[in-house]
Amino acid sequence: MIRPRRHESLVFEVTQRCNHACLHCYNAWKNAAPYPPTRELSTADTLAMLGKVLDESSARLISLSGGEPLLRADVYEIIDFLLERGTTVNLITNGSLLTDKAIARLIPDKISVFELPLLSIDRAVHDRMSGSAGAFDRMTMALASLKAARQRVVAVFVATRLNLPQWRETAELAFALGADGIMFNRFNPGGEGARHVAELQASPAELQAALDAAEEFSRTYDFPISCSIAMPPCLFDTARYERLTFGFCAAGTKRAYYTIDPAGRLRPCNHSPTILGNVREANFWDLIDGPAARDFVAARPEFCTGCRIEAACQGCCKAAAEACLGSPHNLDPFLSANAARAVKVR
Amino acid sequence: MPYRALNGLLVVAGLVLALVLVVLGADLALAARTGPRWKRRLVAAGLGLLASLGLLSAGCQSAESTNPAPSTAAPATGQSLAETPQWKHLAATWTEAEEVASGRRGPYPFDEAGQKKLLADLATVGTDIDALAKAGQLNDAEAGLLREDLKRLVAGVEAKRPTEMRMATCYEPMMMQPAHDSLARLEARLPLLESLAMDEKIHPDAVRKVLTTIEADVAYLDAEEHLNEFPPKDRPAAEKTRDAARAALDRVKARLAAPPAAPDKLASSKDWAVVIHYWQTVTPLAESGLGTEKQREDAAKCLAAATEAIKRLTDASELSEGESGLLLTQAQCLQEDMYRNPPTDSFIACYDIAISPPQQQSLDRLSARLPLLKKMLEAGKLHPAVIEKILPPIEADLKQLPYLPENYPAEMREVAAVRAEVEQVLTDLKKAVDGTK
Repeated sequence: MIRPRRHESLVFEVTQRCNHACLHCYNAWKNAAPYPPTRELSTADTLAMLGKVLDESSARLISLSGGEPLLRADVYEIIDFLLERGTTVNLITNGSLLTDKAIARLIPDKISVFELPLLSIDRAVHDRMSGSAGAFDRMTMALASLKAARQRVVAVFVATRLNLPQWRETAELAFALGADGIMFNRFNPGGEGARHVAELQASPAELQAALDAAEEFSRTYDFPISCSIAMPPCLFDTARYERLTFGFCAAGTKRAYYTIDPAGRLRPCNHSPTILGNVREANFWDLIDGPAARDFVAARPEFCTGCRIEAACQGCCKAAAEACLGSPHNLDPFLSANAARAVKVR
Repeated sequence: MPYRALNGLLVVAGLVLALVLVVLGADLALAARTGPRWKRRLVAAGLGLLASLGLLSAGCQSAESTNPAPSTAAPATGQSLAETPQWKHLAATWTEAEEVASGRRGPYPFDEAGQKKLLADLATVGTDIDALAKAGQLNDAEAGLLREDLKRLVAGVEAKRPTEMRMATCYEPMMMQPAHDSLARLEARLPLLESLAMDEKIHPDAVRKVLTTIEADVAYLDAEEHLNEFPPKDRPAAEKTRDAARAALDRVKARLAAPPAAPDKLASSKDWAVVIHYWQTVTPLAESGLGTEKQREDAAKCLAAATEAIKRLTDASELSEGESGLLLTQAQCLQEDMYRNPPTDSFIACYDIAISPPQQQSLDRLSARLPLLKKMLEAGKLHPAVIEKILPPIEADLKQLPYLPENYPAEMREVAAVRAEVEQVLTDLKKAVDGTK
């Protein structure tokens, strides 16, 4: 019995345009190193490109990201096309354009999960981190409207020095608004965020305290909280948390989230600036089996040699190392800044 | 009874046999599937008991766990379907895949090697079906149905994540239970939402949106047929949660309906400082009713200045007409209270000053304030700083009313009417003030 090779999920960056200017934005085209100019394809070309990559990869899940995906006028056509192909669609959006009219075009149940940033319960902090006045009110309104329309919503909290003091209250806000869960993502430098490390980067102790609060909150309210950005076990005692789930880099596995930019260029993940090739011109499998992808998957910082979970952890976030330090073989900048405190897992 | 005893003996014997097999290092799962029927039954019974005692679990499947090896030989003629090696392999692999795909073995039912092995076994099951169909052991319809179901099983096994992938979720939205607002969650959400709404942490429109979902939940729990879905022991809790939710809804709605908070410029203005100065100067004199001529002269000057300040604030729309009217009335009341006794440094005879009874004064004051209070509420612009000043004397006057003599029924009716109206307005005002803090 011959089964087609399958890759589970992909990220499609619908557009590089955005109406926010987040301090922590990790978009690869905002890195210090230049990213090739990217012209959005026409609707027909975009659908043809997505059709080709779905044919080849048999992916069952596509997360639409950006920029702000809803800025692109044909995003609804793209979503309908993906649904016709039997693909599950997630939408990663800042929520600013999720008006009742926009939501009406996305229901019933076209989107599996909406991911919206909820950066603070304090309007000023949320708006500052978003780089957009009024972002907090627009986002909370969008979240409430989505829940009124019975959609699944995950609130994303990007943990920084600016908003960690309000973490517990922000989680309460997400819960009260009806969010289905929270992603507690530590600030992971890259893109615009790499320019604000001093202002944003929290210490391991601050983050560990926030994890303690998250565990308690999740237990109290039976509320799912996942830490998607890898929390290196050599810095954090993750084993003591029963309720929280922790993500590791998925590079090289079936769940790696290969990312396609608006022009069809494929990258190992949405944080990484490495371009593996263009899916319009080459076969998906040729690209992810190619030398650039193999090098990315194989990359391990020397620092991690001898650690028992080196293979599973993959040295924390190699894409952040690449974005900030130029190579995925370097050490994740967060780990690098706190290397003296790291205790390898033996 | 004898039948139950027989079953009990069977389980005990199975347990003994299972333990013996464990001691001998045999594979219990394999022993339960192979060999004579009596042995399979005994081992299965023993395994069942161990499992029910929690001493045995399906656990994570690894590459070491084996199903019968696939057979390349064609099924022998005359052999029953169940006895063919192809069917034995198919049945064992099928059972395992079904358990994995159904989620009975949990979200991470195997390690990577175990998943690879199971998928490889499932791939050879297709060959088994082909061989059995070719040998006439399965007809075309049976083989076709099995092949269709096999696709479902393969997809189900592929969808499960190996233990190595337990944490590989970076950036991807988390796996989670389907969204549903359990009663417990509703109960926990409401106080938080109420507090956020009261503190104006979120925009009122967002709160209104959230309320629509909660109202729907409450309405759902209003229906008898939905309440009947709860087990009898849980029904009182469901009703209690529903009632608490409704009460919280009413509170949040009342908060949302309150007039919007006025800008906070007033409290920091110079004119307001003049008004405050008057209050601070006169209140001690008014409370005691004692003061010198000089103090009263100063108070009169302060009152003039405060009156002008209040007028300016009204002209600048910093105060509503209702607010300014009440402040002026209240300022005048304080002035009158201050004069209720002769000055402490003069010799004016006590009869020179005619004073009406305190109860009557309270009634008069309340009657005078009532239209202003209503006007202020209607204007929809409220300043907590103003309310703080005017509420205490009104409440003090309200307390005076019950002491009116009872042999004046007409007056009592008037008192009752004024009291009811004032109390209602005060309640509305307090709600509004709570909302603006």
